[in-house]
Amino acid sequence: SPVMEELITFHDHAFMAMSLISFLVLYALLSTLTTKLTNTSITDAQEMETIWTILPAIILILIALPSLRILYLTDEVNDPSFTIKSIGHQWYWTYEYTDYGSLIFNSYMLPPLFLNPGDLRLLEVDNRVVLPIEAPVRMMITSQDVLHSWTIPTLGLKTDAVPGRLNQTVFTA
Amino acid sequence: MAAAPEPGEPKERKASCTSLHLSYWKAFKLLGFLDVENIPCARDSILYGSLGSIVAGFGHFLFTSRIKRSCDVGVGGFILVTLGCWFHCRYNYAKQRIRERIAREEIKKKILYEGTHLDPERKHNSNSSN
Repeated sequence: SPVMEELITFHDHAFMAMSLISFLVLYALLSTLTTKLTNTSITDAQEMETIWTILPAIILILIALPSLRILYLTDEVNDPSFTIKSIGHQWYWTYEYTDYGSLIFNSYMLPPLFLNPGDLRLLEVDNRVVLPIEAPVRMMITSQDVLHSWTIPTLGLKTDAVPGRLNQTVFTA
Repeated sequence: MAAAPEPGEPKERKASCTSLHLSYWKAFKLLGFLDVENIPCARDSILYGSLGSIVAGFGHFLFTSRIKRSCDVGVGGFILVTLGCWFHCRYNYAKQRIRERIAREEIKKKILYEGTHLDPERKHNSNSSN
């Protein structure tokens, strides 16, 4: 999904920044360990201190700006077509489609013995959540007992199911 | 000892020299974690950065004959050239992805509306004839 693509782009950007910083720190470490120069009476180093204050601030701003952009992008609500409620239990999910009638069902994971050839182990369930494509869906997520998390990794979605709290995520499959 | 495969799970493939070689080659990560093969533009940026580092460091050494300072210049050159190539390549990559998405959606619209009054080609032809 577009949100997941943006997340991957941001990951690549932050990863490259982190790699270059690691490389620079490694080089600085090797330089310091291998130098023969010593000065036991250093009192100040204004230029160096200025550089190592301003440069990390710039790097942090360069990482923070795309991060905040994606944060607000993922929170956008684009007039959802309908709403599904998802309630976490130990250890199954209950889904409620209540917009056009009342459809409530439990979704249990299929044990490996019940899988057919080609089925995905630990992912297949007895009753799947059916979502429309190209239509914004609002998912209200909560929990009956302990903390759970509802996620679709390929769509870049992950929302915690907190007992006593209703979390919302809007996405377009 | 590996556990017996459960029903439905694919059987293990026999390791062969080619697959081992390929799997070793696929696992290459710079500094142990930078996946230059699967991140777009990473490989090119690192290679151009290395080239820039060698050129800058060696050039500095030729003019000044100072080894340590030339190494510092080389590292600085590596970082600057890598960053420059990275942003340039990612910008072009993002533009290309946008063009691909627009093309995909236009093809979908064309397939969906071909022959109807919403056909994008018909609209375009009527605009150009007017």
